[in-house]
Amino acid sequence: MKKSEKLLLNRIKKIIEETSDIDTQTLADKLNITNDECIELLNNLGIDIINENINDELKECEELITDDDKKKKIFELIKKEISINKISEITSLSELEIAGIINELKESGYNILNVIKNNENIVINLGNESLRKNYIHNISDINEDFTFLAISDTRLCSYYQQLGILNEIYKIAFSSGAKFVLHCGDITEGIYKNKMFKDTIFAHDTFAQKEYVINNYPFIEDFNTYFLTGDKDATLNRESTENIGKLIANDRKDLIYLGQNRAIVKVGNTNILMRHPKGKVAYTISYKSQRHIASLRSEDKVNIILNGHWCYMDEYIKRKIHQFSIPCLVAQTPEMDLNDIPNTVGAYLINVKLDKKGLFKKTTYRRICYYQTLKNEDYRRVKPLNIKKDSEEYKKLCLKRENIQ
Amino acid sequence: MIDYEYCTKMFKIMKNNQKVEDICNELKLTTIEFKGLIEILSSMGYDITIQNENGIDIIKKRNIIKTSKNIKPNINNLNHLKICIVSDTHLCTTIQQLGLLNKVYKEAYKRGITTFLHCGDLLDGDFTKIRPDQNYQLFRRGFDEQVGYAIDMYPHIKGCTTYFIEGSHDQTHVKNGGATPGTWINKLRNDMVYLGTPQAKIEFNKVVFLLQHPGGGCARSLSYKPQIAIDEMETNEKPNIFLQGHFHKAYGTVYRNVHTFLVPSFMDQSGFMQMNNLKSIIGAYFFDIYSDKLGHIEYFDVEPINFDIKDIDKFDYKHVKKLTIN
Repeated sequence: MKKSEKLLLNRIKKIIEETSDIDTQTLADKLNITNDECIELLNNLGIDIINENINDELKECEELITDDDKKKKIFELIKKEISINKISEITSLSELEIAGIINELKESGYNILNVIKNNENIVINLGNESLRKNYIHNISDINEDFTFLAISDTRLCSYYQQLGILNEIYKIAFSSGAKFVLHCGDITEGIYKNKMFKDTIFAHDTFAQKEYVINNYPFIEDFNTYFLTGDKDATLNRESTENIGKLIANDRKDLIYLGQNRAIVKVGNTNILMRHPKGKVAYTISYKSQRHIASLRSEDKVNIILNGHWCYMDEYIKRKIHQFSIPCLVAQTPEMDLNDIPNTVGAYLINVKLDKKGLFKKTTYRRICYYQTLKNEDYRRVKPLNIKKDSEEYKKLCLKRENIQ
Repeated sequence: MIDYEYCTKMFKIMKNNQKVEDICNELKLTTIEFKGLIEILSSMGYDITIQNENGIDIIKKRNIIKTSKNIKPNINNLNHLKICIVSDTHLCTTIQQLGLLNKVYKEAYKRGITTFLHCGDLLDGDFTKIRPDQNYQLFRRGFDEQVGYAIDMYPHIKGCTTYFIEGSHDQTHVKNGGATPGTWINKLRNDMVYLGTPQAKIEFNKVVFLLQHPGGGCARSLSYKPQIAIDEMETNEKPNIFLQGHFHKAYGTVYRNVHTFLVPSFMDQSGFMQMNNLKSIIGAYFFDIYSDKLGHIEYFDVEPINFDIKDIDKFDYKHVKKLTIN
């Protein structure tokens, strides 16, 4: 329905709400048009006035038949801050039913805030905005030295993605004994406002990008990836309110979504802060991460910080925090080229060593660098990595893994 | 609504090098409709175009075959180099940490490392002319005493070699009297090889190392100085690994495909450093480098060794013993 038609329909609805048992002539008078024009208008709006009266027809237009319809309607309404009472007025659903639907939406992963403001329950879908600063995810079954793979900026759905390299890194990491993968955001390339870059991606909406990730992101059974969403992923929110991170996590159990831009992963006694910072890359590549560490309150210090977004590789220790800037897994995109942004392609395999008490002691790491990216249509020529436990390849990787351990 | 299933079906029906006219007749489509179909198929990711060959429009289609291939060689087929990196030992100053250097050499020996690189300032030197107070921070003075101390006390492990460059502190002896400590240490210690100053290249397994002891002060942003240095390097002159001493900092990055490190020191914070709020990081690096035949580094394992304040021995110079393993 066009916006102008919607406005007209709302106007008609308002008139009808104010006046009971209205006929077309009365309505025509109120709209300052002739009766014939009014009938034509109602017909154009899809309102059949021959067999039913206007009130019934309008009611049917607005009636929410299935649970899905109700959810969709409420989902639309909570894009902006709105009270449950107001939703009830609009949808004719009871407050309790609405609250129940909101609860279900929250359970299915939507980031909805429901608070009391001026004695009214206010609801808003926050989309990708984080509810809490410190989301802490526990990986508690590890009590000894451990290795994990740190990656970032896979930028899937960009023509410049490097799925072949990503797949290989997963195999290297798994066979090297890595327990899990931490992905510091920008799992997808998102969408572009700028027309110049629109043809640098091959999937142009949240659903298509989500589908691509689900079907193509490397899968090795029992090898989980904990991931953030970054600024590129968030661009998808311009056109839809769904959080792609949550949508991916709903469909792939090995991909565990930790939040937008920031999360803490607690592995035994080791705290790892994953970040996908905002802003442009400084010329001096260590500058921004140094400033971040300098700004941290002592009480908020962690053992390891992993920074995505900047697409370069560096590591150092400052204030006893082991900082790693995680490189990307995408070739230089036209956007990077235009903005003079260099990028390093690769990953870190980080080994965490614990002391006798099981507390964090130090890190050693392996740099895995790719000096050349794959130019030959990597995005559509690479076979997705899908290694299940009963496969020969899984057994081979496990054999290598055992030899290392 | 576009019927994508229908489009996919049509793609399968079309044959490579088939005439457009023929397929239009077969599918009962006009030329413009057929072009529309090609457009939609392209948007769906199919590789299909119309090409004009000798005045006849021909379909060119390719089926995309998805493959998986290895990009990096197997780690077992690569050259493996184990190496230890140290710098700024500043021997002969009362705040030297030779005991910790010995520890690092001993640990390296245990790990089977036989190659050591030293990024300059092996000695604290003698620049009392410009900093008279240095005289009171030294326990060995002048060229003879300092070079003699290095020859006597620098860790010695049978079968291990230390390749070193000179730094600004070593160079004070050249400025004072034209004597080059590196040359004499090299002559009198078979296990120590002097490479030059202020920088030198050395190659192992075709992996090129550039050791540098730059001048100037330390930037607040750790990456700044090494970035500047790499930015000034010519494309074909870039090393695989770039090591900078002098700054007493520990930092690593990959910049313009050069694996870069600021190498920490073996000296406690001096009065000068305190005055300028400069930290002196004490430590070293152990590298495990896996490279191909051309010297390209495929895997780079790094273990930074960082000593804490509590590890510092304030009287190291008084009681440290020489490490000798034969």
